[in-house]
Amino acid sequence: MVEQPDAAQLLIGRPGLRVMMAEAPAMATVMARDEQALRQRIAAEHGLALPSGGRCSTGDGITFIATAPGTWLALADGLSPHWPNTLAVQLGDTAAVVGQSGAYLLFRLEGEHAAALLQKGVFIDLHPGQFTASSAAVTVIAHIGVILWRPDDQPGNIPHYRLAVPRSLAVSFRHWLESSVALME
Amino acid sequence: MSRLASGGLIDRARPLSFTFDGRQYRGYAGDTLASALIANDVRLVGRSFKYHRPRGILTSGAEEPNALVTIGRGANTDPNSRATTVALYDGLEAVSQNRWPSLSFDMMAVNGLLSPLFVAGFYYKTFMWPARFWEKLYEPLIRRAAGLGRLSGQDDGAVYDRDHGFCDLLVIGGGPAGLAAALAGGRAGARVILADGDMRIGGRLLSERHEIDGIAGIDWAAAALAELAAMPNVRLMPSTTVFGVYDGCTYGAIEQLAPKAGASAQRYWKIVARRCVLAAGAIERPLVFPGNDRPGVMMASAVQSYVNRHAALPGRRIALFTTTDSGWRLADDLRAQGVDVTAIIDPRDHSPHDAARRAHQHGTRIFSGAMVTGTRGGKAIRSVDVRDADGQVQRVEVDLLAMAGGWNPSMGLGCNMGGRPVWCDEIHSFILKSPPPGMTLAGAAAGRLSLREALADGLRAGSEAMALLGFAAPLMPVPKASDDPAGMQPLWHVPGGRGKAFVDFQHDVTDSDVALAAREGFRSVEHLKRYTTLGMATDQGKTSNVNGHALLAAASGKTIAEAGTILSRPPYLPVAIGAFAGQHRDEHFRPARLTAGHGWAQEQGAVFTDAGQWKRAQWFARPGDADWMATVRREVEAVRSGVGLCDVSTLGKIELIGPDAGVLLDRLYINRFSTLPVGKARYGVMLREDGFVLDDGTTSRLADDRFLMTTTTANAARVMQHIDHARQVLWPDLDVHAISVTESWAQFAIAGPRARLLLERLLPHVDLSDRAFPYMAAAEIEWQGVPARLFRLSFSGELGYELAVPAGDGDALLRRLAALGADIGLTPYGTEALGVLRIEKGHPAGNELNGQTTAGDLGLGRMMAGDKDFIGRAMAGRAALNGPERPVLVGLRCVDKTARLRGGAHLLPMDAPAIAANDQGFVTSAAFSPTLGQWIGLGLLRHGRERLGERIRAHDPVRDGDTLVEVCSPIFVDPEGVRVRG
Repeated sequence: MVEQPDAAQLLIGRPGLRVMMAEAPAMATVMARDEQALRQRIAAEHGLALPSGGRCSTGDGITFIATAPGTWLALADGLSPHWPNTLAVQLGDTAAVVGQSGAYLLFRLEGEHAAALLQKGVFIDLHPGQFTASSAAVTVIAHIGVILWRPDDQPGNIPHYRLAVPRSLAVSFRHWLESSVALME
Repeated sequence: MSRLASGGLIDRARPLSFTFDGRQYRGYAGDTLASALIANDVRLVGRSFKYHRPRGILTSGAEEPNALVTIGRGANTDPNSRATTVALYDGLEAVSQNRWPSLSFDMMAVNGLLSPLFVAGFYYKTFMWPARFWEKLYEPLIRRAAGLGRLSGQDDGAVYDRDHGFCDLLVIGGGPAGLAAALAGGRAGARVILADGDMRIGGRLLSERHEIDGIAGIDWAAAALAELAAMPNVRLMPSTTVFGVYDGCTYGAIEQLAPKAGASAQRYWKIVARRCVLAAGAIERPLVFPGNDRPGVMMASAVQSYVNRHAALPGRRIALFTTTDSGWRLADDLRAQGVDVTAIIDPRDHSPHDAARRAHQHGTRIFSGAMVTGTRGGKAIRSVDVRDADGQVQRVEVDLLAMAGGWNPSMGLGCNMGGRPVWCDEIHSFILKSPPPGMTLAGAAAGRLSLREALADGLRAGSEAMALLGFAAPLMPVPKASDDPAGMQPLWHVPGGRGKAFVDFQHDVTDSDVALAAREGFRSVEHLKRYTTLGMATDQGKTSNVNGHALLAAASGKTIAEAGTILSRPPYLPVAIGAFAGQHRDEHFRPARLTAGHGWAQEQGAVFTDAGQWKRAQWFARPGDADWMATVRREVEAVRSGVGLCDVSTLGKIELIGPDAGVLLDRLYINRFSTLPVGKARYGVMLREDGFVLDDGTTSRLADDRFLMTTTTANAARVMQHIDHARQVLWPDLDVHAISVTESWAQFAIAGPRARLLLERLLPHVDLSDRAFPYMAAAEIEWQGVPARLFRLSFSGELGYELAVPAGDGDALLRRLAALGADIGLTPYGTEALGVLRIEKGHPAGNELNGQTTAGDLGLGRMMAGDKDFIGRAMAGRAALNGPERPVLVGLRCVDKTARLRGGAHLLPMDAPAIAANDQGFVTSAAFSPTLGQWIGLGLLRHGRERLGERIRAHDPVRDGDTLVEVCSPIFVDPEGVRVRG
């Protein structure tokens, strides 16, 4: 799980909806050079299966989100921004690894109204039966390219969501967020 | 007051106050503006488009052509609102439109006297000469005289939201068919959205008196709605108009929200539905007879709505002109409210027997085989002329004439994807047999007009959709209801009589306009529309098209089936442009990109400029700076003499990784990169396929198999695409990956003679000496525990570095630099100073990389490696791209040191007249050079390199400039490049 509760800033807190913003942890883009070998290496090093398109998987404190064919965004909770170099060494010639630690701000949406808020921006069906736990999408909210994923449900089974928003666009994203929340019934 | 003492779906416990044309009235929750006006005896609500004829309320639905009003005031003005669909709220302010000085006394009604001038196509015929008068006189006059409501001219005060919906079944229309379809879907467990434009779902069941399964239709609807509302898989959307059908089973809809702080509020929906049932009902057809537009002539179905649903009685002496059995039901409904119909006029010879008997018993005069040939009255109807079966004309005193001319299925949405309606003899109207993929029509929208048919059809459509989607639909019996056959005989036109007989009420198109169009050869329905404007404007002919097309068919000797009808395009009903824009207005029109240093720059007094989506600091004004020029001069001088700091994070940054990265770069750039040593940067130029320059920048080698490319801010995305195209399409065999890291890094240029001093303070552990870190060096280092990248680059021509850290640390780095540089005069500088510095150094930038210049034009031709291939090489070799006549980059300095040079000025020989034939080039960039103390510029000049020292003119007719300039080398400062090497 990617959690930095101490650094997270509560943007919206109301009954049934909490939105928090946090600095992203160590992040890297992983692009397969030999996908089969890469999958084996990831399984061996981190004990998880690389997700295929539209999915994410978490293990060993690292989340991999499939963002394009043969491409993943990897987030490592609580690790230093030098971690992409470590990962590059681990993966050797199975993949190209590029550090992206400063590129995104992370938003966390939770509560029974989280999906309704997100749905105002996302033109992807977020029905819990469609966008199931471990689903991921590279999509657009208010003309801003975002990476959206739904980690496994927490106790209580209310879906919660993560969004990686390009840092430079975070102010505009927050404008969407706040004006959309203001019009929720 | 014409409010009935009891009944109706209004909440008498919730009285509401509103105004119309400044007068105060009262209504109830559950009223529309129209029903409240009727209850308050307001008959005259508007003036017609062309003739300014007095008009009243015609319908009770979204098809209303007459009762268009302006709601709200000031920035919250909402013109052309249909009074028939505006839900009444407390404090609503409505005013009538298209009249002067008042609705009751409209001077423009004089247009009616000039009507012989205003026939179809009058503006093509009447205002022909002199031609120059058209734009200045005729058109403004016509626009002022004819029209609808006006915008406020202020910023729109309305509130617009947006949402997205996904469902298995979208049901459009919540009448009997729609409710049945939604129940079929809901009970099967499918995700259902039921959208209805009305504030209350129920369709005609709310306005007519029927029995379904032994209970009142209205109670059946309420029970169905309660069941649907309790289903978690069903979303009920009242006040939601689906306005368009698009590819991929996507539907556009507008949900009307409760007004917020006096402003209208709407939500724009994009809905994707696996299946759709269009159950939008049918629209009652007016009858075309002289005087059919007089206030007090109303659709029979509308009278039913006002009486049954809103308990508002639109008249007391009521006549009914009907060609349908359904029209006769109005007489029963009125009788139930204690109102007897004065007369029923039915052109058919055989009236419905039972209804006629009941009417007769209550003293209603029944005219069979008769027609209404005229109406009398001023701003309200007083009597009608009835021509009976024997041809005798009788006058009947009335204050309301209800008309029922048959039903047109409301299937416009189904035509959005190109399906063309076909004529159906059975119901004497058009029906749609080729709906868009995923859509089924049901009920009256499909031409099944009786209640029993509609219920059965809705159920069938819903169940079929479930079966297609693989849901096990529970078996549902068809609710029992009366058959109510809507027996009818069409009457397209009442012959004889005097006065105008309107086909299109909104655009004042009469029967004679249609006949004239046919006579003049406009015999296609589409031509008819354009020539007469039939079916244009806000109602798009919902009440007029079929009548108009039937009249055209008759006038041109065709059957109606042969004449056909038009296709309906989105939007089905008018949608405010603002609803599509939503929150993306004013400064939020598009998202803005802010660098990590934005906040710090704001604190330093930065003025920002747009560079694409980016906000870049243009300059940093300080108290004491006389103007922006003084600020820029101060910033330039600081870089040339001390040290400056500039945020260059917006430049595109792309990492290329893999054993073939060098090979790819060799093919992208005109010069070679595969030989670049690790730890070095090199300036590169890349061409488009057509041989012109695409972009330039520096690329550094961070490791054997890892390069970092920089692009200009403007071309960052384009170069990324270019690389992906090369990698994925041209040379997929190369083992190289590329990805943008622009967002990842905050990068700052530190430039000036004291730049090294500042960096030594910041990075004491890094050897910054010329020997260890010479010009064009690049290194991965660390700053305060985070990875950093240091480059020895210079755009300014001074000793310069660029330092990058993860964007999250950018703000901290800036603040640290500012603190360390305070005592040595560290000065932040913006894009203006950056521009001046690069012009002084002759570096081409966006103004020169304008898509029309070659590497040779820019003096970079010698960079082209002769022994390798690269994109653009072949086309760059074309003669036209290498001719001696091509304008090339030169420097320009004003001969008079006080004169100003302007970008865009044309370059002319000194004594040549300022005509295009003498044009030899133009000034691409100009700036006041603090270093030289005068205006200088870069330009593209024919034979420029052979003309150094020549004096020419910079001619600027736009700004009245004509300056003598001397052609010189584009490098004004430190041509030997000593300073960059420290």
